[in-house]
Amino acid sequence: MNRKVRKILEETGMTKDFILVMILRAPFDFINAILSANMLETFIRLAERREEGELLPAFGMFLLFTVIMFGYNMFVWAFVTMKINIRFIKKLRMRVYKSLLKRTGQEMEELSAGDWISRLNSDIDKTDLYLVGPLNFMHLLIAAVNMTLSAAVLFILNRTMLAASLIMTLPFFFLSSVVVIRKIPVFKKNSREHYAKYTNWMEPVIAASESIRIFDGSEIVRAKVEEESLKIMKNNMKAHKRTALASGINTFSGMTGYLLLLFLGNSMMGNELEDFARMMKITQYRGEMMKSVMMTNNCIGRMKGNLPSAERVEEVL
Amino acid sequence: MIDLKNVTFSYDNKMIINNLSLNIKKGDKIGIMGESGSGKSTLLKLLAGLYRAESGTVTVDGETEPEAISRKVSVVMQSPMLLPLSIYDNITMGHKYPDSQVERVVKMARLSNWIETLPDGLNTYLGDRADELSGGQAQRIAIARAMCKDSEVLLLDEPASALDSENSKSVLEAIMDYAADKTVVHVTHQAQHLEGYTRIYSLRDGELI
Repeated sequence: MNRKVRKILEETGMTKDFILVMILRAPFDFINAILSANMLETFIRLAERREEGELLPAFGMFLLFTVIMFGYNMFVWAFVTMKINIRFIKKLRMRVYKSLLKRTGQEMEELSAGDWISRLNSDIDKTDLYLVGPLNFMHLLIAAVNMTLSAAVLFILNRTMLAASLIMTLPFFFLSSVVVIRKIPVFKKNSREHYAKYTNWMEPVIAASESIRIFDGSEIVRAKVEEESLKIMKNNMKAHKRTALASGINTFSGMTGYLLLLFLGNSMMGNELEDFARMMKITQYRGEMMKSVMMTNNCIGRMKGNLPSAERVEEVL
Repeated sequence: MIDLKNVTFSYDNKMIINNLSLNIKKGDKIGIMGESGSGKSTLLKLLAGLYRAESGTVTVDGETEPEAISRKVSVVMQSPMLLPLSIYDNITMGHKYPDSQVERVVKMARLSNWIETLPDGLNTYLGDRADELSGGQAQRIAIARAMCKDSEVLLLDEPASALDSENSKSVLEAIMDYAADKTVVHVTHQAQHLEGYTRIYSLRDGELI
């Protein structure tokens, strides 16, 4: 987690609560992976042994585990995370307002009204998104746990498959997260600054509406507002393009990796090194690993997009 | 130049302007006095085409539609509303006026000395720093804006009330120097600001006395 975001958590006194949420949520995807992999292996083995009578009890058992898992996830998400999230937003807003009210007039004048307004509104919301929003920090953590543990299981099950997966994944992962996504915070920071300038126009447009009408100033106001709005859009588009490119790289890496896996799996089964049921289990863990890599990449991209807002909030604190 | 016939205007079921009629000739300087809340600003906004009369007609320079009236008048409000633009753009409001005209109004509004001290001169960006200007400087920019539009009708809503006596005198002198041949309607609660006006009315209970 970014140092400034950690500081925000400390300032709001919510560090322990977030650690609790992290512990509760982190293992979900991996437990789900174990469940799916074992279910697939069990069903295939039962079918291969023609033990059709065992299919229904096995199905019932996995259904029960699945329901428990999703019930647990729903409980953690809807009750624990939501409650902590609401408290965090409330505390952060209060803390930012408190810090603002302590400032002298001179300090307040260091930033424009639009800048203050955007820090108080959308920047706080984006800080929250960074922490608990979809495909942000919380999902990064879940993905990291799933990726590490799935890789560990693959290491035990079949090292060749793990090596093949890593060879097809790591270069693309670094290309995507280090080269492509790196610039996103710069674009997002620019976008936030233009958003502040755009917000700056709201007050004068409302307060000076009569002057604008009398002196026929709507054209220059429209042009200036449009100029800022375009700058926001351009920077967001640049960030969006990077995210799309990273996503494309991930998909390419996933597909090529899958083809390699099919090829390797086929020859391993042909040489009777693995049977079909176990190969399906391996495929499942490899799938989880790939899914987590993609998720990690997406999370990093989005977190980088929200980070400038969190930094702007931290500056106020 | 300006003709109000049986004009009525109310706000929140309260009668502000009550069947008011007034005829102002070209070049007249009309002062309208009244206490706070007497409706003098409302009257000025009706004359500026910013409000539409409930009944009766408002005619300014041959126009009766509020939007058309707004195009025919210049207004200086009590609080100058500046935009996050350069001083130049705040004066011209994005219109292309000859440089000589802008220079002339800057001089008439007594802004020259101050602007010369600014590194970027007229191109100084006010941005969100508009509130760092003194009241006098901001009001002079608003006056220069009104002068630049150069309408035949100049409407003044207590343009000097928020200024100290020195600034107030200077601002009013600047306006009167410019508006010698203009039609002026000036609403205020300070009688001393209306010296030399053609007619002075008092607005009470929505009627001119």
